[in-house]
Amino acid sequence: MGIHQYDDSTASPALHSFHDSSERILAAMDTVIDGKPAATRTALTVLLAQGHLLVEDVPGVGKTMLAKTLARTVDCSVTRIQFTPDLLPSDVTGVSIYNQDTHSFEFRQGPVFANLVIGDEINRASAKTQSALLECMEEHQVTVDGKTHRLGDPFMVVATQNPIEMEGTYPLPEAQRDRFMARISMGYPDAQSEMDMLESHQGSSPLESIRPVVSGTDIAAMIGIVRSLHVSTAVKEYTVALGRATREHPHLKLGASPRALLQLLRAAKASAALQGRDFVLPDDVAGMSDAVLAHRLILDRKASSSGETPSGVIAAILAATPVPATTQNRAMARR
Amino acid sequence: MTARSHAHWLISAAVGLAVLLCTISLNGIIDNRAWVPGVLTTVPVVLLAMSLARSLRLPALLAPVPGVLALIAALTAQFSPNANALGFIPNQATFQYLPLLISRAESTIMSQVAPVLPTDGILLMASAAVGVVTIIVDTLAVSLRMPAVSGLGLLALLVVPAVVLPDSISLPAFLAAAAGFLIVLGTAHALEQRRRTTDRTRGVLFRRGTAVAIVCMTATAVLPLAIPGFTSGSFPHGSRLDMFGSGTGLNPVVSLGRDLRNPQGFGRITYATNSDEPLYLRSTTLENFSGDRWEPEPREVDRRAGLDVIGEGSILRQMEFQDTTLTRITTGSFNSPWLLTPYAPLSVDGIEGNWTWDPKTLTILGDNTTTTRQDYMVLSIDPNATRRQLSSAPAAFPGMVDDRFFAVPNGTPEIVSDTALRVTQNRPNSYEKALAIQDYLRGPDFSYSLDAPVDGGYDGNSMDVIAAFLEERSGYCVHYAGSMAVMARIAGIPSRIAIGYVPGTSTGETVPGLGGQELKEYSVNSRDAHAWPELYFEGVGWVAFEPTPSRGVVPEYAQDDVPDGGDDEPDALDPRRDRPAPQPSVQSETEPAVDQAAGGGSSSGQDVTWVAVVVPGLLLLGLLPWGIRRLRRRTALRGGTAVAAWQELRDTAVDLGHPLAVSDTPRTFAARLAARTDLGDADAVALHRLRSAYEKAQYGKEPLSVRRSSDESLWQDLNTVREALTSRASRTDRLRAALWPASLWRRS
Repeated sequence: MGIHQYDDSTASPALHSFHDSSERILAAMDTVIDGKPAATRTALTVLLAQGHLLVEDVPGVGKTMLAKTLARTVDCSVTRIQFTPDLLPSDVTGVSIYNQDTHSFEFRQGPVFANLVIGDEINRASAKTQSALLECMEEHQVTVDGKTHRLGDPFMVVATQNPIEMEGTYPLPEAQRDRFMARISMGYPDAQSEMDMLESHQGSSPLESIRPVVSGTDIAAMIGIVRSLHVSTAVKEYTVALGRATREHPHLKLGASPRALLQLLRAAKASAALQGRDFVLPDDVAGMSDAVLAHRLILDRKASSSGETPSGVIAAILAATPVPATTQNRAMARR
Repeated sequence: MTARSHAHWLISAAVGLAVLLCTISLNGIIDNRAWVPGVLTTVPVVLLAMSLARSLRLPALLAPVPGVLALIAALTAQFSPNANALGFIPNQATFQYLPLLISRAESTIMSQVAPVLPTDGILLMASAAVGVVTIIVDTLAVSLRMPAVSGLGLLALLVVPAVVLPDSISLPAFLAAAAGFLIVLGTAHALEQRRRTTDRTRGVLFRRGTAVAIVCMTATAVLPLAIPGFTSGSFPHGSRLDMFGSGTGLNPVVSLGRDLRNPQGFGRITYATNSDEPLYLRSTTLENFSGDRWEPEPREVDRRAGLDVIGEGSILRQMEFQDTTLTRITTGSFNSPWLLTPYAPLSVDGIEGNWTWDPKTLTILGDNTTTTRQDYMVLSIDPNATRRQLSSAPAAFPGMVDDRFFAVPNGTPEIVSDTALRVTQNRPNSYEKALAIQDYLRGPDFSYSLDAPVDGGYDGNSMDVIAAFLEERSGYCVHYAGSMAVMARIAGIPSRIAIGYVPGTSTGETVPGLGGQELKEYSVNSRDAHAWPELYFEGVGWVAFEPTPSRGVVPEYAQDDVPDGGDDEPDALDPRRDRPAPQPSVQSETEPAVDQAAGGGSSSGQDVTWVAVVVPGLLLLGLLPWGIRRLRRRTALRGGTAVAAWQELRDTAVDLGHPLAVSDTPRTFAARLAARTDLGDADAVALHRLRSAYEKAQYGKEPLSVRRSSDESLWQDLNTVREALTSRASRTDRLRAALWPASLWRRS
């Protein structure tokens, strides 16, 4: 699948402007994140699919940079929470404070009240704080003292986590990883990209030079387009078949949840829209399945000790699952 | 999807195979496997018509219509080659001719018992019936998608032999039919499964199904053998306990019926002869009817010892003018006091033990010795009696031959004497009277049955039994022969009953005889046991007649005719002979030799037809994949949709050796295809356009029905890519793609 492929000349004008905007965002991000087009693209896909992103990698490969860059390119409110072991849930969601002037409690919004929330080193916070954030992620709202407060729209959490340093961390439990639509690893850039990076980061930070290329309302409109994308029955069947295959796979202790499939299809829709198509292909689903499913699958002990990875299992499942045609066509063929 | 759309071809092929396998059961019904060419032509033609109709997307329930039309055309072309239009369209002449054939077939069915002679009418009915069954089975299995129910149609084919044949359906025929049904079920099931399940479960299901089927079939085949009396259900054919109870050997009187009813046939006897035709072997005669049934005459006093010269008087005189026949007989375990010889024996060589012969009947009886494990040579004469001689023979009267050949017991039931007199009245001479009696017994009123006597309790040949037989008009050779002999005596013709064997079947081997001549070998067993009347004509001698319809078939033209030859001439009418019956003309006194030549000619003619049918058939079969593939391409072209274009492209690629994985999306497949074949830019763009159009049609928003792409560019693209792929393929790949297109077998 070509990355910047624009392969449908009959797309609607709305899709045209969608495509233009997305290209602008990706171009802007690529000036900062060198040599990681797949990561930037997945990040944008998750944003457009209204999901949350978990970036997992060793320190120093640009996890936070990716989150910040994405936030910068979009003209919307951005907050950043540095998770530490002593961070309290109220530090994330906000607190009610007694106002002496009005003699009443007032809610002071926490950092989660923004369009884009960057949660740095989420595994350093206590489980209590983590789950406060995860609740916000799922419900898009905060309830304090019996009052419910809506979060921003669009709302996206980009959390980073460091898998190497395990001391004093609280790794996200499996159930909570399920809340993230996708997980990506940055990986080390190649030599040329690293050279470019050293070059461009000599003077001022390139992050400073980024201007927002789209507004928050643009993003909301783009999200609307993604939602309206057509998904044929065949593609839905394919998604379900993939999900069932993970549950029946002998090497997996835990397969994909229904929520995972829902998010997979949403991500596939965003991916299709980014390619300028107004319908989803099985390729979109297959293309997103590793990012969306891998962090939710749990290998059984035997498989993990033999060196198998969830990504390997997903590749095997993709290679074995038949790609269905549309039902109408099947009905026609049956005659 | 594509596999599904053409799956019906596979199921229809399975149906064809199943029907053909079921027709094996016709083997015992129609002689000489003559039904094979007709059936082999009719079934494929019918199925082809129905499958084509389906491929052309005719409504599924209309498929039988072209099937019926194809059946009519096929029958017209085969059975009415001279009365039709364009070779296969029936016209008025056809509709006058075919009913004629059918009515002849009806009379054949009425007058003969299986196996019947393969007349055109019979073959027409067989082909038509098989064709109709094919249409029914195919409609059930494919159009109505009830492959399991289609077994009922196949069952219809098996019902005929089950009812008609005395030993029901043979085991091989049953197994073939069952296998055919399983093929239909298996094909339908496999195609259904392929749509639903993964390879793994399909394999398990298939293995499980096969195991169950094999166990069931084995049980069906083995159980009846293990449990005596298991057959006494719908079609009782006597108890199989007899298999162990009765010894081999030809009990001269009533046990003959039991021998005939034995489904296995035991006591194999082989004989080799230099005669051009297989022979009747005679064991003994029954001439004493003074008591209440036919019995051999115990004329111990008259018997003469020594077998070097047999016969006296008239027989020896005739010998000078007649041909002699040399026959070598090996009896095996056959155990009887009477020696088997062709009629009339002149001398016997190489026999062990003491034997005596009776000058009145020329039967040879052992003196404290039996026929077991004997291997001997018999020289016999063929008395060439002619019609003219027989017609001019004067009425016999006591004194010419022994009185006992005239004796009719007192108290003959009225029905016997009345029938005899009624049948023979107004006939000018003895020969005509004999013919009249034979014709009467062979007439449509009588039916051959091995069972009726058992059920009616008259297994035997007493006068009561003969009366009952004339009443019931159903019985077997003992009844027919006994009746004719009695009626002949009532009409004034001396008579006796000969007991022996019909000619049996050729083993296809030859045995060296005396002087280096080759003797053709035949074998008979207990199921060939037979009884027939011999009537005496002054100046001619004893002449055999054949009133039993099961063992001798008189074609309709010869209903009023009798063989002009002598004793062994009724052989010519026996359907068990290896070649079709000669056709003696009513007017001329045709020599048997001429008849045989004619018979041989028609036999080789059949071989030619066989080759003429099979070779083009095999060729056509070989070209079938190519034809189907071509048809699919044209259907795709006519369909004109992007889906069809893509499927066609995919099939082409698969044919040329670019396999398609189940998990391939259009994109991955196109990318791999382009990479493997190193497509040029223009070709790659065409491939890209085809792929995009397909994706849009397949997964896009608009309903499929409006996605009929009218623009030609799609098909130009298809042709561009096809040419590019073909030009990059090796010659063997191209050849294989043409003759053995893989896309027909793989899911694409």
